[in-house]
Amino acid sequence: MAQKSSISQRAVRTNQYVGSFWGRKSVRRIVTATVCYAILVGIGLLICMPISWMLGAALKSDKETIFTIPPTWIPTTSWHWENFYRSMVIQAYPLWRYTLNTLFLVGANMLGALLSCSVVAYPLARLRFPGQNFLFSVMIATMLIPYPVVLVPQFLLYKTIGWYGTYLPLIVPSFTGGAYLTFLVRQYMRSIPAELDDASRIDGCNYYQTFLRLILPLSSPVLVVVIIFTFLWTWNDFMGPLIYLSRQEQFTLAVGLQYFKEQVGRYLGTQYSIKWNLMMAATLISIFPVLILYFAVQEKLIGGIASVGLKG
Amino acid sequence: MSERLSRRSVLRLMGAGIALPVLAACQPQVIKETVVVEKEKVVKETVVQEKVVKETVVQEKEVTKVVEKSVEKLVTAVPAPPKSGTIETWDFGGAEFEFIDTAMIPDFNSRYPGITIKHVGIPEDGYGTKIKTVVAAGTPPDVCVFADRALSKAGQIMAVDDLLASAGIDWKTDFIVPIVNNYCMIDDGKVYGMPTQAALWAGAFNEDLFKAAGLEPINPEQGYDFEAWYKIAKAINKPSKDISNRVWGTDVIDLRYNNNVPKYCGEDGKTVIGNWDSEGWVKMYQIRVQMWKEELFPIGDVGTALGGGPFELGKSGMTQEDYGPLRKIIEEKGINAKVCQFPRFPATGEQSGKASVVGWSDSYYGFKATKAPDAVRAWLLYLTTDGMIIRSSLSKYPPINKQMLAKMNWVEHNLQGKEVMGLLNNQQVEPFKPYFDDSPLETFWTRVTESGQPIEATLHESAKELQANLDKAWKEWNEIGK
Amino acid sequence: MKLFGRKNTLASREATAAYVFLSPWLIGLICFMIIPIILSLALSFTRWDTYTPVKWIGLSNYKEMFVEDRLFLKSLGVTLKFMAVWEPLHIILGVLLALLLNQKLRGMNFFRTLFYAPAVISGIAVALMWMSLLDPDFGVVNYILEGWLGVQKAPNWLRSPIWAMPSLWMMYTWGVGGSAVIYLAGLQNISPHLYEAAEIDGAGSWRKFWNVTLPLLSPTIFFMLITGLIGGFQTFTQAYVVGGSGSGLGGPDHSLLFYMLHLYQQAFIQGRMGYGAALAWFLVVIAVIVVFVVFGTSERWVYYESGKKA
Repeated sequence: MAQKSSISQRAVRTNQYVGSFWGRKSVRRIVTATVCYAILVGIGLLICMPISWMLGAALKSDKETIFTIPPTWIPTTSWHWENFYRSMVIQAYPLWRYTLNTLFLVGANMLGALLSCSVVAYPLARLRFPGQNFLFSVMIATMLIPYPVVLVPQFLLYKTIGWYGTYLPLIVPSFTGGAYLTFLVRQYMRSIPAELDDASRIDGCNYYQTFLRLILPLSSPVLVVVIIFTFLWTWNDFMGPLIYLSRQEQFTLAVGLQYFKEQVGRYLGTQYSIKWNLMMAATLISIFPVLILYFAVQEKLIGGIASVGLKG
Repeated sequence: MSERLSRRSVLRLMGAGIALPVLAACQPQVIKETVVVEKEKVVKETVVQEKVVKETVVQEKEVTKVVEKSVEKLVTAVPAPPKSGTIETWDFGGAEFEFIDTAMIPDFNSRYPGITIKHVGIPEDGYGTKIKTVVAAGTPPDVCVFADRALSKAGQIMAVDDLLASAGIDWKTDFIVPIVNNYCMIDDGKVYGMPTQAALWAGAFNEDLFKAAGLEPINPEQGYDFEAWYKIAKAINKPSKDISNRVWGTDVIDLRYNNNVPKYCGEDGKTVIGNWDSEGWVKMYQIRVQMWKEELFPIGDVGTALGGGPFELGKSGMTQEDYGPLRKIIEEKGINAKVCQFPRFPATGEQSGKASVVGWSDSYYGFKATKAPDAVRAWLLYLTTDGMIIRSSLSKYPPINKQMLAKMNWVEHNLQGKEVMGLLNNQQVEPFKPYFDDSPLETFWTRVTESGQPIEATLHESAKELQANLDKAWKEWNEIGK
Repeated sequence: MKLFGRKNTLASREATAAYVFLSPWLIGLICFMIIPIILSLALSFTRWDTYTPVKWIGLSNYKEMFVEDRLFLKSLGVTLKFMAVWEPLHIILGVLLALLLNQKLRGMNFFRTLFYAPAVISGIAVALMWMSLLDPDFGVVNYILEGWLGVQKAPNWLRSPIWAMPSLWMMYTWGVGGSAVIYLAGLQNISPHLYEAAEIDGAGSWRKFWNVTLPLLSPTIFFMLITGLIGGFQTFTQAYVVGGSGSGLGGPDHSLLFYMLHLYQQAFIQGRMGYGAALAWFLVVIAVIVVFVVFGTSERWVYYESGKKA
């Protein structure tokens, strides 16, 4: 080790005095840094631009047209923060209600994922039993199954048992241990030292107690990730509610926005025209909770995703 | 290209039924007393199928005389109100159908206090699917608007011919026949949908813009062809970089509703090739593409940018519009708009005298599987009689029932009433077509405009696609109920 | 438990406990996965409109698919076209972005957080946002093109059959930070010693990238490629929102009619469940073939540090 570092130190010292101005490491570093920052800031602006434009549009008054040439980023008159409230309470498209529906669904799913992923991951991580490798491979395989193939028959199945038009098809599956999240939990559980298991068994705990009292509390970091992921997926889920919810009162925010947009996108005559600024406000509201949650927990979230990517 | 279609019109044409050509039978001689007597006879005997179709002029006079008598008879001829029952009625919900809750149900309940109506709104997007689903599950609603015609063919819907007759209504004389044919029937001659109004979907022009451009106002009874339309649009169009100064020649006018020969599916409703891609259509598209190139149409999200539609802001010379919204445009926005026909092909054949407009109606369908058939019949009948008056006064459309029309004195009390009724009564009857995928109509337009492909060659190609879709639809239609 | 009676009691109790814990998943697997998959295959040989009884029609659905349905080929083409550009694009851009984020500069965490943000926003919101940005007459994008950059006639984006797909590529590129983050994790997993060793051997930046970074990143790339392919075949939400559910489904001249959109329309809007199932099976077959091909060639270009398959 000492040898290596002395070689690299000498290389560094040599570089400083040999070569052109641009060859100097310090100059190169500044140039690289500047270029990097420039690109990063540029990309950052590109990412922020659509959102900031939406914010500007959402704050405009009804009279002020959204599309002007040149486009005005900031409303010229006053900033209408009440648009956010207004967009939620339109009688024909009650977005506030859709939001409540979505919260309900999200809560139910988070509960389901928490319970089932931990429960299902435990034997795969800790116990030995016949067929364990086979079942684990099956679980991985299900991650690769394209959704379309089960889409239609699942729909027919739910219809046959009378769950169509209810929230059940959107809740029950989360109680059956989704593959992706269970995999995540299992990997984490494997990292818990096995001696703790033995210790608890010596203390006379059976498997259920070991799970409840030992493994589950120790897995809390990964379980937090599970909850966060579930929140994100359920909040953003579009196709599920689109297919299984039949009544307008049941809509989630995602589907409700789409329904809202279909009316905005078409000019229907004076009596039905809906303001675009409200549309933008509603979209922003649908994004906000997700973004806030994201910024709060992004370390854990990104860590979780990254670990799946690495081990996958 | 965004066609400013009333979305309901599209659905109507999709969900509507279109019958065989009308039974002709025309005996011009009518004597006043006979008419009155005959009318009374109808009411008493309850069912008279074969009816003589009278000339409009004479009949209207007769109607006013008979009105008092037949209206009374109308009310008493209704079957005794059922004591109680609950029925569920489905429609799209939202702002459009709020009037059911605010106006119709309370009024209905004042006549039939024992019947409860449960109003359910299902959004338009998945409406058809939901209906099919509940029918399959054996739990359909009792009444719904816009049921798929296939349901009628499959025997799920009750025919309303008897119901109408029992109330002394002979739809072939009392209703505006083309509307019933085009929107309430399928290909077996029975009436399934209960019509509730006579909405007019027609052209409209801004008389002030016409005068400013030195153009003569269009006579609603006369048609005008595409060349004339082009000239009008060009005269009115004022290009400008600034959108607040811009004036467009005309809004885009959808050609699917052009009640005109040659129809794009032929007289039998089965033949696209040879009809849609015929010379007349090619010429018409050439003019239209030219208009598009010269930017005579407002295209895209102009409505959002302006804060309203171009026509209602006085920035477009012509448009296509439902009569109800048109009234609002005239009364609330102060536009001097007049109703007129759609541009038409050169007139040929026996249909040449007919007006190039579309009259349509919401139709309500009662399901045979209902557990409260009497309540359903009462509700349906209400919708087409007294309910129709309420509906008409809210929506501004004339009632489809000529007796109601006279009772309300609709023609006198409504803007351009005479012209509107003239157009409604003079429409064509369309050949029946089952619902089919007519997207080649749109993709053709996109191809010749956005992609710049040649008109005639692309039209032949698209006609083949459309024909394939139509054939498939007919094949599936004929399979229903087998 | 009788099943495990032969082995000793401890192992059998362990097995019992295991299966008890696994039961929610097993039930879900059988009810919501296995049975539907089998049903789906059977369904593809029937005609069922959900309001008439099921009718066996043999291979008719498949015949219709391959012979009569123009939109089938079109939708397949649209999906493949989208993926042919998006797959390489998102890998290249993702890796580049990750390299950028891997620099030892201050504030990297902030940028990383910012770039990942679009990935958590729902597909609908993204689509709605971009629809208004890309409006040909009033959108910001065309304003920049025509106003600042002096382009003569800016494209009609989502209204034009030619530019609709590029619009979608743009939309997805906005969210490429999602995959960049995963590549970043992969990059940070490469031990610095390897870079030092390469430097000593006289490697310049390009060599370092090509011989050290890429090979060690290849498992991650492989994983992203597979999931990207599977996900790509199922593209639905944004195309649906952009096109509209009515007559606009599939965009101008069906240029955005993704396979899933076509399936959705056939199965749920037109109610042809049997045909929808047939379409779904075909998609599965294609996806499996593609994935197998990628897996098969993977041995040649994916390098596992541990020396054996992960």
